Amino acid sequence: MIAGVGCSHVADRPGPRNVCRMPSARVVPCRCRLPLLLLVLVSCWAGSPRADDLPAPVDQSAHEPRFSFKGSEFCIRCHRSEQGEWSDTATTAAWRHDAHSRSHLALLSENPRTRAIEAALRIRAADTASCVACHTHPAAEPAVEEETPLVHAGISCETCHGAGSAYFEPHLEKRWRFLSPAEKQALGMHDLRSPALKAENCLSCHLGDVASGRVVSHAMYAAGHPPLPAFEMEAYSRALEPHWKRVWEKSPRVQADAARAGYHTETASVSQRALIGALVGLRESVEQVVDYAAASTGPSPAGRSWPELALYDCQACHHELQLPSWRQRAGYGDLVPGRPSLYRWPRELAAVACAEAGQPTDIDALLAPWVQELNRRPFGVASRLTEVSRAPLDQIGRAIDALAARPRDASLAEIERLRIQKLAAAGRRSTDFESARLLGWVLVETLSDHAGWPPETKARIVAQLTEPLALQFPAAGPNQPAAQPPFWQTSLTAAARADRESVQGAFQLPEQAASPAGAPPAHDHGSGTPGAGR
Amino acid sequence: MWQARHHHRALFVLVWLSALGAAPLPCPCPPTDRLPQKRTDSLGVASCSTSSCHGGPKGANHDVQSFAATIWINDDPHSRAAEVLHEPRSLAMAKMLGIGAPHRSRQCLVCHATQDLKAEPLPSRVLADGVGCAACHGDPTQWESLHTLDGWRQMSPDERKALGYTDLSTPLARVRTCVRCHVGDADHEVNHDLLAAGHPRLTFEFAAYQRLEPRHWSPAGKAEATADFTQRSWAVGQAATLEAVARLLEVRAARAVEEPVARWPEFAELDCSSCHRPLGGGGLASRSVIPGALPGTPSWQPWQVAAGRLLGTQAADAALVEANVIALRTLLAADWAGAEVEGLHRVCRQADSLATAAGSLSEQLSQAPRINLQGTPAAVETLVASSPQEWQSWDSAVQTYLALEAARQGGPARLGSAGCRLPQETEAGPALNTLRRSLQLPAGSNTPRDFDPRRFHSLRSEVP
Repeated sequence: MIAGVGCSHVADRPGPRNVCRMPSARVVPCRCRLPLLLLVLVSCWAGSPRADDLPAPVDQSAHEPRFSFKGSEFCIRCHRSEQGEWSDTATTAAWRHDAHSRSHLALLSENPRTRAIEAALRIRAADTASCVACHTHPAAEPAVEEETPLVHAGISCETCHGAGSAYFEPHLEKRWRFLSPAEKQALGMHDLRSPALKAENCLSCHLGDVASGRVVSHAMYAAGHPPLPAFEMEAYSRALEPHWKRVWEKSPRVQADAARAGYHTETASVSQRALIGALVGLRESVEQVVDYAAASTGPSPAGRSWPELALYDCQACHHELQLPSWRQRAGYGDLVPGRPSLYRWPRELAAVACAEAGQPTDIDALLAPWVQELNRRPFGVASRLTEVSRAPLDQIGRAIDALAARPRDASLAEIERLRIQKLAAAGRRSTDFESARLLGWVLVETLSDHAGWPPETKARIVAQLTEPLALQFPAAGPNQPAAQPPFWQTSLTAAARADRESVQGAFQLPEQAASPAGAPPAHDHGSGTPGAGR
Repeated sequence: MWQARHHHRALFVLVWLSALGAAPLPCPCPPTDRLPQKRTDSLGVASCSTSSCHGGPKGANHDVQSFAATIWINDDPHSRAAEVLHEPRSLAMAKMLGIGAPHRSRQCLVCHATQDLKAEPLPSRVLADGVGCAACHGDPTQWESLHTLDGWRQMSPDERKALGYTDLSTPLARVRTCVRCHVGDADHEVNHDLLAAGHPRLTFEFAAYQRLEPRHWSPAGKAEATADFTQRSWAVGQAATLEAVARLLEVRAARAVEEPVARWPEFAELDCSSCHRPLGGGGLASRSVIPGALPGTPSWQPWQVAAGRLLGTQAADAALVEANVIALRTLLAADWAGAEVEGLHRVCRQADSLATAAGSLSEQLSQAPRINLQGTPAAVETLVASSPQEWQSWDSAVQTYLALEAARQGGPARLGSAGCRLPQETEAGPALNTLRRSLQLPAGSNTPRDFDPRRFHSLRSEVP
């Protein structure tokens, strides 16, 4: 499903190291999709005339992997230090402090949690495809050109940027930088400047991706795998200590060079990236179920058993039995009470994104066909899910395109000022903790990117959001205390103690922020006046 | 949901709330002509409760029969089963379920009222009656006048039955009446949709419910007069309840076969705590483990499995019931959500096998010369020691407690006076009281957050 992972990772052929003993974790054949097609959101299955003739696993011989992994050692040779003005970050040094670089260590049986999972599932994590797929990369040995110590180390360079066998040599040349994303992709390098593709890349692990075998099954969770916290791309990215810079963050000379050479760069602001990310999250949460259903039904089911509980909203079942409850007050919409539902966390942010994209904003209405299906039978009938997903996915795709097409121009400051208001308003209406947390993260990211308000006002808003929504990530970088509670645990604790009033109240913006004194009158819906430009 | 300060009260509330059964939603709705007619009351409680019949004043000098309806009206929550449909909680539930006014909904009324649901529109008169006389004693249309005459006493049970009268003198007859709503059947069903909307969970154990029911009859000549009354009530009750539970599961699985789309899996068949537990591992010690099942597999009703296992310690024929219970649990652990016809047929067959075995056991126990539960504490000890991981759930602990309490309760002497609800704490003994308090649910929650299986079993081993 993710651009590069789908094509270039050879991953999904079960090799000797990827033999899986868990029925629910068997790897399904990779379905290759061209990244540019992905941009316009034409998924492979979407063209099928009927749900019934769906899954027919993609013929692998037609999609022979063209690229294989070099191993991070090759990257580190250069990227461990600054590469001049264009690349003035010590990339791999930053990555060393990034939790991704240690993700493979979780596969070692020395960890008590890993040992418990291995015992409960009767597996060895390091040999299990569905574990390896996220904790290193879904590559089987044939994909690796040369066995080096770092080839399987964590989520490394090539996991996100694409397998390097073909682009490694060319990318050493100066002119590489000025090639178009399509030209780079042709050699296997992913366009992570595209917010939609980057979100898809991150979500393939942070949410899951059936095609590349990245599914944390319910059995894995029940055996002890930590729950995956709701994902927000921009906040997560910043928590990594980014090892990249946008072109406008680089030196004036580089910017001038870039402009002269027609250097392809991203145009999306932080908030725009976040909104696109939310829409991709919504899309992936639907597609994940559809893909899984396809892999479990049809003439040749790809070894998945239906239903897989992990594809549905955890909170739909895992909640306290009490009346009255936040869950009941939030209502079930048109869903029959007590039915498993799709993930809710992408919805409220996606609704803001849809409004920005000029698309209908009622996500519940958008997913009404899904609700009808889940009302007919808990978990829905696998063979029908593709059918009911078509229209919602089309609309989400249109919203992503509309947002991605927005140019970065002088109107940005005003757009962001209004976005802050809209995000805060959505937060004040929020109906569940995880949705509110996503809105909070994006609000904070947008504020920090927005030049309109005095720093102390922004700091106050950030402070009031951070505590109740647990927005803080574990500290990254060198010399951090080893005994920090894991992020998933702080997320759970915060969700358990959250109450609606304090969560919604955290989104109350100070008066002066809502309407800065002395600013000219508003021409929008009267929600305030334009802030100062950047 | 539970405001109970201690477990005794939790059980008490459980009875009250569980009296409020209802029917399947949103589909398949039972066709009206399939609704049972036996329970309907064309005359209403008013015809029984005149002051010269069953509605006389309470008093030690009167025959209980003369104020049976008075007790029912004053003390018995069944009399308020229809009123509850007007409460905010019921209205909120009905709104969530999209079924209109609950006091006009046949799905609610099948259990909450005693009236002819064939009538269109439904008459409002009988509504106020709630679960009235006819709900248990049978439709009085044909025997109302007869039963006041001397000849009535000379009529055989079969003759009375032919007139629509239900004999309730034995535990078996009683439990078979209760389970219609307190467990459910094809036409009376509390499914997970209803539970999620706010309906209390149904947890039925006949002997405890019977103790809680304000007695509006004289014990003379009835089961109460026998020395092993409570023990027999427990044993017969568990067997007959298992039969009803298995029949309901059979109905649910059969519906999923018959209809192209039905509500399967039915979450109400599964352990609440299997799913409704905090994420991240910790936080809830109550756990229903199925040996050999994949982690994260919900278990089939630990409440009933525990009942089956405890019953299995009693008699040779009960072992067959226990084996069937375990087989059903194992079958559902392997495939609890699959909607393939073949799998559903297997569930139907296994449920039928359990129902048949439990039904026949309930008859046997009902006719056995003597039921003795004296060995229960030792039998429980052996049972728990042989597979401790299977006795970690709150449900199994409550069932264990109820078995121990039934074993301790005696015959008629402990009944209390007419209209009296339940034996007070002092009668159960200090060890049992401590055990009961360890099962207490947290205020405002139905999740047994504070339940500690190790502590429970340590306290249990001290019960004499």
